[in-house]
This record gives sequence, structure tokens and C-alpha cells, in this order.
Amino acid sequence: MEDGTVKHGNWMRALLRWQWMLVLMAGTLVLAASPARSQGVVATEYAVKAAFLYHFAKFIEWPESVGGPSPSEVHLCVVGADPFGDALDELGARGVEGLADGARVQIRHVANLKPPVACHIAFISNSERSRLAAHLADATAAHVVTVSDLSGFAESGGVIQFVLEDGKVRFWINRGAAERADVRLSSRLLALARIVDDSGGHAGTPRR
Amino acid sequence: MGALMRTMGRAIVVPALLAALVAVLAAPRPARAGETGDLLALSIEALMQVKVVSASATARTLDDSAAAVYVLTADDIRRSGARDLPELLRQVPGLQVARISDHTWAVSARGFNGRFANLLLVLVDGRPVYDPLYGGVYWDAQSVPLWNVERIEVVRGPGGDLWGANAVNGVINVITRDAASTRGGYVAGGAGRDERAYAAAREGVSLGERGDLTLYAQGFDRTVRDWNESRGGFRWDRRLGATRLSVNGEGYDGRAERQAYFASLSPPALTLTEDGERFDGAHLTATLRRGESRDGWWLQAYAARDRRDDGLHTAHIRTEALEVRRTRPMGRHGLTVGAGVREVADTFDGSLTVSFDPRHDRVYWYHVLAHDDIALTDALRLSLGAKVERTPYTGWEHQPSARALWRITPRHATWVAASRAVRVPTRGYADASIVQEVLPGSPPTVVKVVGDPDAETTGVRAFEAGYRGRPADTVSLDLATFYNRYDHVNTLENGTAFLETSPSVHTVVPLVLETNAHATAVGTEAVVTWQAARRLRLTATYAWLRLRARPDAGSDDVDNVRRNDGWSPQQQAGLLVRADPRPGVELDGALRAVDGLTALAVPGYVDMTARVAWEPVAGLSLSLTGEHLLRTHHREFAVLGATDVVAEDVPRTVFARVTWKP
Repeated sequence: MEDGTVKHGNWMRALLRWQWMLVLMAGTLVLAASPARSQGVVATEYAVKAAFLYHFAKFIEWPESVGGPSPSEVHLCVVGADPFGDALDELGARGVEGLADGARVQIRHVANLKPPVACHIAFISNSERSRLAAHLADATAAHVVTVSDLSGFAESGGVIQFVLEDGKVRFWINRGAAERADVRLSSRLLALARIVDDSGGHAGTPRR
Repeated sequence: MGALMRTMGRAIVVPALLAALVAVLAAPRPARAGETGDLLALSIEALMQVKVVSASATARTLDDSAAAVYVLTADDIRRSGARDLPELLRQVPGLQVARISDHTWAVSARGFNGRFANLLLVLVDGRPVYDPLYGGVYWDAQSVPLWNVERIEVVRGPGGDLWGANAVNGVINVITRDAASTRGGYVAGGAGRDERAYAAAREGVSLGERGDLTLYAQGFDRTVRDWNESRGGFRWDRRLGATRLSVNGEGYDGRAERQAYFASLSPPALTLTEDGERFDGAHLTATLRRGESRDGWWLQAYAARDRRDDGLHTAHIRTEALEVRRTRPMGRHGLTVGAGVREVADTFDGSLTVSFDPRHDRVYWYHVLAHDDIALTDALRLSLGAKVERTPYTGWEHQPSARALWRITPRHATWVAASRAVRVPTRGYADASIVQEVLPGSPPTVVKVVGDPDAETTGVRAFEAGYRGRPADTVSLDLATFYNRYDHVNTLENGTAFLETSPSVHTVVPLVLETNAHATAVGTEAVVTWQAARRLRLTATYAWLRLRARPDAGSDDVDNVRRNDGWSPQQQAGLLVRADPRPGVELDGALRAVDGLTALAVPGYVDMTARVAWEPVAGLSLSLTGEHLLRTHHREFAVLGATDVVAEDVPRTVFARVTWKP
């Protein structure tokens, strides 16, 4: 056994180390909690992605069965582990411009997109890669606009995929996937996106 | 080697980690205007010009982690039908789960299984739940309400660089639901062939400005061994500015009959008793989070009390811990630093059969850790990390790891890892004395396993590689392979016999618990998931393991060490079927084939679980689950030590559940 091992009744030493640790941790806390200095338009990745999700709601029209072109409440679902931290909380309190008066974003955390789960937009977390096929099939049936930053997402039949280019958030859109889900994306949104096709299927062919 | 490493640990690693800590904390914080509120005011075009802080980032999601990870989601958990956490874990590829008796299980990953398997770390919301005396988990005291679990992340392979000692062969991280996601009510009830009654309830309310509060409770009463337990708790989540606070408290009280041998110096030497076992406890945990996973900090403090009285001993354990972590991006680097301290105090009132000397102890654990997640290119990521921990019985331990992930194409990724992790001796290894045999005579002879205060740390150097990908839209594949080298594996050495006078004169033949062996393990684990149709998902799993443990030169242990070779099944295969034949109906099945345990003379078996659930109206669900369906009973484990719990057959069972979620 080594010298200095804290064992039976080695009180003083233990106490000293407690203090040392506490000082270290107090220091960590003070520094971690210190207010952020802000300069320029720079933001954390998921704060930007959250803002994009909010904007998407304005540029999408849903079929009648899920509330028509302008739903009175936009259900934004997060499927799987939520990477957004606080970023989504801000959205919940906001009305969406351009939608019916007082339309708000409702944030929901869900495990899947099977009925009766009702979502307009679903952000599919990276934790869901192995279940992606099932989520996409459910989303198509329920007219859900799927969004994810999983690589290969749009090519696999997801509607909108976030990508990072030069440190900026960009998005790719699979038009075929949007058509299959029977949702309309505005031309303004499409103009900003890079359009991709399914790699494994033909656009327009309903898939099981 | 060990001593040198430890010296180096003190001389280099600790100052280096502290320097890293200071550097990260003192470095200017990346500028951010970026509270979401400000961003919402921007047009979508303007938003596309916002520069985001670091594309590299830390706290990678599991899909992008260079480790063998398997996640059970809330859906997977519900559809497994499992009532008990270990039964659920049977679904996870590469874990070895064997039920010893009705409320005791042996659970491990990549070998070295046993009732007190201590190379697997189990965490519930970040709180380790192993028994600090033996280092293993009392699964019957961990009846986490599974309907209240959000997901379970299982990492096979070492995790010592993040989670610390005991995360040698794997980490199971149970994450429960937060209060905001459990608003409203939930009630459930049921009964079954081995269950007199089951009841559960949850109610979540919004407190407006003061956050969300959820209260929950669960109780069951099983017929076999009269295992019953009640458990209740709360969770409160609220925002304090940019900080989120969670407070969670839970208490449990369980009882069960158990068969065990009680040793006595007067004949009969060993008596099979059916003692009542009682276990209860409570914990209170507070967690603070600020920012997001890639740029934020996290602080957790908890206090826990656990008590177990099994007729042979009563143990009271008190644990308090404080841990803090800070993650922040710096260019291509995502840095995480952390520190923590844990205090464990226990009082152990034993008997002749099992005793601890001294009967009371209090120990402290400290750690610092640092991690760097580096985006070398868009496709290639390197992750370096180490945890340096001061443990009560062996001093400083360092647990470094290096991992790399290459995303070959968007659909395919491969990873490699090299790491070291340790299992440190627990108090049991230092202070315990457990009777194995009593031989009549005058005076009688008692064969005892006794702890050795000089027991060394069991270390593993693990080399892993894996592939994760989606070869087709509907198929996902996960492969992992590993080569582990262990040093200082447990042995039982012959000690020198001596006379003891209490309670009456007897000769003691000690078997000293030492660490004079080494081992190697190789293995492969594979998972294939196929979404065969929209309503049909198939998952096939396979695991192969070959373990060789041998005594070091100079050890007198011949048999015990080698038994490790045949203590875990060499091969395991499973098939999970999940079908939704029509809306509102769920059909789930699991088929498993498990090799025999050669060291324990337990034959291999094939086992099946099936569940059918029906939702006649929204919110109401009726389900029927059958476990161990193929045979009326089968054996999964055996216990060699005379005074441990007695292994029993696992019987077939069927149980029903009704749940109502208005």
C-alpha cells in the first residue's frame, strides 16, 4: 500500500484534500458562471439551428388534415436525445409571424412519430440513427417535416438536413421526401437550400 | 510498472490536468451574441450568415462516438415488457445477464460475470449504484421504475476516462425522464403468475414560473421468495435564468426471502436458512446545467443512504458526492474538464459467516478529468482524455483513452480506440472475512476468504475497433471487436492457518483474496437492425467472447483463476422482432440462445420472451408478457461459495399490465 493512502481515520489529510477540491471547484464555478462577453453575430450551433426551425414553420404549408396551410399551433417535436439545451425554450413563448393570429410554437419531446403523436416539424436527434427508417416512414404517413443533422439524412429520405459549411449552418432539402409527406415548401425556402435526391430510391415513389 | 505509472501519475498527469483546467477556464470565451431570442429576430437569409461557434465540439452524440454503444429508448424499454432492469438488459448485445435466483442477477459485459461482478459500472442519472463494499450491484435494490426511464445508454468497453473506477468492461447509464416531459397523469396496474400485484402512478404538474414537478410511485409483490418493494420519488425541474436546475429524490423499501448458508462452529456447521432480507434507502440529487452540451457546464451533487440486512449482516452505507464539468469549444477542439469528490461511509455488522474489520469506515474519492475532442478534418475525429482519480485503497489511478472515428461516407463510419481502465479494490477486498466451509473436529476448522489490504488495482488495457453504418436505407449495422489485457486479476491464495478464540476456539484456514493473475480476452459483438416493412422491425445480435485467465508465477491459485474462462457464455445470439400488425396493436418477441457456463456446469439454453399489447382507446393500453417461455424452468447460473446466495431455476412466467395515460 502506498504512503498517503486515505484510509482508516486519516482525517487531517482527507480534510485537507476536501478543501483543496472545494477551492478548485469553487474556482471552476465562478469562471463557468461568469457572464459571456458578446461581440458580432456569432452564436452556438444549436441556438442557430433552433432559430432555423422557427423560421421553417413560416415557409411550409401542411395539408388540411393537419391544420391546413396555416396551423394555429405549430408542434415542433424533438425525437430522441435533445441537443438544444436551452435554445428551444425561447421558441415556445413566441408567436410565429405570418401564421394565424397568435399561432405559437409548441415544443414536444417524443420517442417516435407514430400516431397519436402529432407533429408539424420533427427534429430527429443523432441518437436515432438506428431507428431512422422507422421514423421517416412514420413521418411521411403523418405529414411531418423531418429535420436532422444526421449525415446522409436528406439522401435517405429526410426532408431537411442541416450541414455546417465554413462555420455557417446551411440546409439541404429533399423535395421528393416533402412531396411524399404531402407538404409544400415555399420557393423562398427552396431557393436558400441545396436540393438533393434520394440516393436509394426514386423521388415520388411512395416507400414502405 | 504499476508503481512507476502511479508515480508518473502524480508527477506529470495531475499537474498537466490542472494546467489544462486553468487554461480552459481562463481562456477568453468565444464571443456569442447568440441567445436564441436575438436570433429569432433575424430573417432566414441573415441567419444563414451567422457564424457558429466551432463545428468540432465536444459531447459528441452516441452515434458519432468511437465506442461500442447501444441505446435502449423509452419505446424499446416499454416494448420489451421487462419489469426488472437486468431482464431488460438481456436485449443488449455483448452483455452477459444471468438470473441467479428470483431477485438476484449476475450482469457483466465482456466477461468476469458473477453476483458481485464489479467490472461494469451502473449509473442512474449519473449516480453510481454499485455497493461500495463489494463493488457489485444489488439489482433487487435498483428496481428503477422502467416506465419513468427516458433511455438507457450502454457502452461496452472501458469508460474509465470519463466515468472512473469500475468502468472497466462497460458502463450502463440509466437516464430518467424530466418533469417537463411527464406532465399529466399515468397509472398502471397488473398481476402475473409470479406476481400478486403491481401498481404504479405518476402525476406531473406545471408550477408556472417555478418549473415542473412530477411525483411517482411504484410497488410490487412477487410470489416467489416473497419479493416485494415499494419506491417513490419526485423530480422538479426549473429554470433560473440561463441555468436549469433539476432536483430528484427517491426512496425505496424492499424485502425478500433468500436462501443462504449460515455458518456455525457447533454442528451442523452450515445450515441452509431462508432468512428475510430487507433493503431500503433514499437519495437526493441536484443537478445544475448551463448552456448546451457543446458549450456549457454541469454540476451535480447527491447524497444517498442504503441499508441491507440479510440475516448474515447489516450494512449501512452513506454516500455524498459533488461533481462539476465544463465543456467549451476552442477552434477545432472541444474541451471538457471536470473535478469531483465523493465520500463513502459504512457500518457493517456481521456474523461468523461474514464480517468486516473494522466494522466502520469512511473513505474519500477525488478526481480530475480532461478531454479534448479534435476535428482533424470534417470526416476524421480524434478524442483524447484521461481521468486521474485518488482512490481510498490504492492511491492515485490514471485512466487515459485515445479514440478516433473516421466517417468514411455519410452512411459509414469506423472507429478505433485504445484505453486503460481500472477496478480498484473495495473495502471488501481489504477488510472482509467470509466463511466458505466449516470442518468438524476439536477444535473445528473454518475455511475463510479474507481480504488483503495490499490487494492491487485490476487494470485493463483495451484495444477496440468498430464499424457503424447503414448499408441500405432500411438496414443498420454495428460491429465491435476488442482485445483486452488485464493485470492483477483476483486470486485466492493459501494463507497460514492460525487459531482464533472468538466466539470459541477454532482453527482458521485463510484463503487470501489477492490479485496475482493476468488475463486476456478477445471478442466480437454485432447488431443488425432491419426495418423490413413499415410495421416490422427485426434486430439480430451476436456476441462471441474468449477469456483466458492465468495465475502469475508464484501464485498458488490454480482453480479459481481459471474458472473465469468458463464463467461467461462464449457465444450469445438474439433475435428481436417488433411488429405493429394494425394500429393500436403491438407484437414483440425476443429469442435468445446462450452458451453454457463450463466452469459452473450450467448448460446452454434457448429462451423466449413475448409481449402483445392493445390500445382499445387512446391512452389505455393492455398488455400481456411472457418471460422464459420455452421451458417450465431452466438454470442460468451457479454459485460455488457455500455461504453465498443459493442459485435457483428460472421459472416461466406470464404477467399482465394495464396502463392509463389520460
